[in-house]
Amino acid sequence: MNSEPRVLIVESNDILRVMLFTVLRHQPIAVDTAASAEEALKRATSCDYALIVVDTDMSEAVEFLTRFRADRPEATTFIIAVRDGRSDAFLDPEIVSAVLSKPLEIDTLAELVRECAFVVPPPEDPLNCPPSESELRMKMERGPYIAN
Amino acid sequence: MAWRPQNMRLETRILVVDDDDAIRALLRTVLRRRGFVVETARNGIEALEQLGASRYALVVLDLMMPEMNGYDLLRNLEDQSFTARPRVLILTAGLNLQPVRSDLIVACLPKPFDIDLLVDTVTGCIGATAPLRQPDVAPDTTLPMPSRLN
Repeated sequence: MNSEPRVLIVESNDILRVMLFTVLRHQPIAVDTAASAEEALKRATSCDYALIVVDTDMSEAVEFLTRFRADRPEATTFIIAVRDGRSDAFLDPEIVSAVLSKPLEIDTLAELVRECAFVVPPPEDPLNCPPSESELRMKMERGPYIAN
Repeated sequence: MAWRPQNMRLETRILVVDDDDAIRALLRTVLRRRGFVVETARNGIEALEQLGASRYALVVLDLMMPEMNGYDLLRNLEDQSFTARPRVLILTAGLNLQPVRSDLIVACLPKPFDIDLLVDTVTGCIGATAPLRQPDVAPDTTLPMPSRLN
C-alpha cells in the first residue's frame, strides 16, 4: 500500500489542472486529477484522499462536494475550495475546510498542500486504491525495467 | 503615525488554537510565509498554558473544541487587563453563537475562511493592536568616537 498521502485536484481548466499536477507531483504526495465533477466523484468515492483541492467556480463542483460528504461521511478529507476572489457564494463549513482565492500563488498552494496532507488522519478502514496519476507518470518517465 | 524607537519592533507572535490538525498546519504555513512567528495549541487548556508562558500579539481561536472550548478560554481572559491580554480573532463554523464580550475579540471570521482574507485580517489586527516589545538588545547609548580630533 502506498503510504504517501493522496491529493485530488479538481479543475476543469486544462492549463491550470496540468500546472497544478506538475507542481504537486514533485512533492512527497500522490496526486490525482479530475476535469469534471462527475470524474471527481468517481475518484473520491473509490480512493481515500487526505486533501481535495477543488475549483468551486466549476460546473457542479458544490454538488460534487455535497454528494461526496454524504456518500462518505467517514472520510477525514480536508477540502480546500479555490474560487474567484469576487465570489461570495455560501460554502458550507461542514463540507469545505478553507477557501483560497484566485489568482493562486502556486508556491503557497504547493506548501499548503504538502503541510496539510500529512496531518490529516488516515482512514480507519482504507480503500484499496489503484496507483495514482503521479505514481504512473513517474514509472512512465523512468521507463521499463530491463534485467541484464 | 505614532512615534516608535527604531530599535523596537512589533511583536508578531501568534497563537493558533484549533483542534483540527489540518487547519493548524494550514494557518501555520500561511502565517509563517507572511513572517509571523506562529505557535499552536489543540484546545483551550494547551492555549492557557502557552499564554502563561509567552506573550502573543494575537490569538486565532476556534470556538468549538474538545477539553476546553474557545468560550471557556475567553472567560479565562476576562480577568486580565485590556493591555495585558492578547487580542483574539475568532474562527467559527457555528451558526448559533453564544454571546461574547465584544472587548475580548477584535474580529470574527466564519468557516470556511478565505485564506487570503484571514491573512489580511491577521496582518491588520497585528498592525493595529500589537503592543511594543522590549528591545532584544539594549540600545547603544555611547557617543560615536570622532575619527579625527581637531
